[in-house]
Amino acid sequence: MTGWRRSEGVNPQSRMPLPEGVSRGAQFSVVVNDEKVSAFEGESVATVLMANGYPIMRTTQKGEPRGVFCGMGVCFDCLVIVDEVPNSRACMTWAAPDMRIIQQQGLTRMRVQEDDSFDA
Amino acid sequence: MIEQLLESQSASFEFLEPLPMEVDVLIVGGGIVGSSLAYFLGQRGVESLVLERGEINREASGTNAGSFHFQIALHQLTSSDPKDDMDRLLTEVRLHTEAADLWKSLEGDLKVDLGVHETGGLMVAETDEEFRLLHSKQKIEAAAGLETHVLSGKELKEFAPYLASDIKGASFCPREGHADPLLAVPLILMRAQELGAQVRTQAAVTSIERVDGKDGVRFIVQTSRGVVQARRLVNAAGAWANDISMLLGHSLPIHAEGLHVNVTEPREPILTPMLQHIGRRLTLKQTSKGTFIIGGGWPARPELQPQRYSNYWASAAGNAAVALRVMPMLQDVRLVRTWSGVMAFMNDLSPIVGESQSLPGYHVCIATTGFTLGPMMAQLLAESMVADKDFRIPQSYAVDRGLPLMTR
Ligand SMILES: Cc1cc2nc3c(=O)[nH]c(=O)nc-3n(C[C@H](O)[C@H](O)[C@H](O)COP(=O)(O)OP(=O)(O)OC[C@H]3O[C@@H](n4cnc5c(N)ncnc54)[C@H](O)[C@@H]3O)c2cc1C
Ligand code: FES
Repeated sequence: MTGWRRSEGVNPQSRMPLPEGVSRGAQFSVVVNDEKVSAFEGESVATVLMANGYPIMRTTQKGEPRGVFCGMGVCFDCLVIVDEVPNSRACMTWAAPDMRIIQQQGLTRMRVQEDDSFDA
Repeated sequence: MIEQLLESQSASFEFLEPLPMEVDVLIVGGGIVGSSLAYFLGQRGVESLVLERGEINREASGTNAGSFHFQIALHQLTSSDPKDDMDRLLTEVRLHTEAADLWKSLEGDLKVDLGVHETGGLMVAETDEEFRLLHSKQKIEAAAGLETHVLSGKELKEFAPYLASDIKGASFCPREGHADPLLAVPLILMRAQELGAQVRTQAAVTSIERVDGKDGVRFIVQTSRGVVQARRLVNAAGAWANDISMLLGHSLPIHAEGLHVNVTEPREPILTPMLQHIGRRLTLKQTSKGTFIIGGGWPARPELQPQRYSNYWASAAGNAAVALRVMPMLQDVRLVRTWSGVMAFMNDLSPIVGESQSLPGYHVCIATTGFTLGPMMAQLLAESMVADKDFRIPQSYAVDRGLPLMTR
């Protein structure tokens, strides 16, 4: 995937220091585009992307960058492809070991349903 | 657009100022009807004051789906044969074409962006009987001067390939479309203010006294923010219009109902026209942002107080099921939000517009598809209040028709 800009000077291992008595979950790795990055249990895909220097999660149809806006699942700005499922909300999806996250371009096409006589 | 909204926000600073002592026309209700009326009166040099108990555009006018309904729809019919309602429908559809013209010119006249899009509208039929109904209603529309075309299932497949392949057919009205309900009222009201209208919010009307004195009629109106006097009073209180009317001992043939609307996540553009159904409750359209707005009159609880409305889960599910039936592609599109609002329905289906014969000086303006028709009804009323044109309000809209015959 070309054209995705990653922030410079980010230490992929770095996270906000935690106060005493609070600990992070287990560390594992996920794949963003083609790159292996680290994640911790309990983090959302959005957290993993931002902590690893990917504030841009998708582009609009016109190519404008979008990332976390509402952080709570309503704006659909943070859409990414997670394990081949397009239009997944990064802020609402838990990161999991070996997950494959791909930044998304535009919105996914509407698919014609094979059996379109869906009976309501 | 953002600039205009900011401008309307600064125009709203006067909303909390003290009430004026006296005004020519007092308008109760800061929805699309009240604000359009203030504008059309201002245009004619008549001063008015809009009183709103809460904030402007918070009720039906700001919670609706924003569709323009010009074709004859299910809720306007009292039987399966539109001929039974012929006179009323002819009157109505003639005015619908006028409402279409008004929406088309409104943005230009006001010099604001109200999000008006004339996308055309399709009304689909699933059964043979529904398809016949499309043909018979189309004849009335043609007689009233509204352009509509009936498309067979085959023609429809070509015209709208995204619809379910077994839809029987549809009628198409090129003039239908939508506007943005979040923009219309604030921006129309801003222009009304520029023409001299005053607006006060957080001012609930609590009692009205009508005094028929030597020097004409006066209304002494008590509000939660003090008293104001007016020569003429207009009831534009939507679902609460009967409460206002009853303050004068006058009853209106209306009832309030709660309705709900859903919005989905954005998807790539595919659906241009607005979709409706001749036999089931559905309106479906895709906005310029890519989201789908799904409504069509599914019920919500008609709570009148408190001013927050709850939704029925069954309505959201039922509404989505009809949308899916008509457009199966929506199957993997996620709903983001469901909301509801409360509006007035007329018991005999005709709007109520004009001056009361039994209480001169008292005016009413309410319509059912009030987002589509509100500005046009307000214009009709403004015309009649200054009598600058021939009186054009249909007889069937009479304000006193809900009163017992003896008191009219
Ligand atoms: C969910 C929903 C979807 C809809 N979809 C569509 C659609 O797609 N297309 C369409 O054409 N129509 C639609 N409608 C109908 C349309 O929204 C209404 O008919 C229209 O907005 C009514 O406008 P109004 O100004 O009369 O009422 P409102 O906008 O309700 O304004 C009345 C105002 O009066 C105020 N008021 C009440 N009592 C007092 C008091 N005592 N003192 C002071 N102020 C008071 C209220 O606070 C309110 O702000 C829909 C309605 C709903 C609820
Ligand atoms: S940030 Fe808004 S949905 Fe994810």
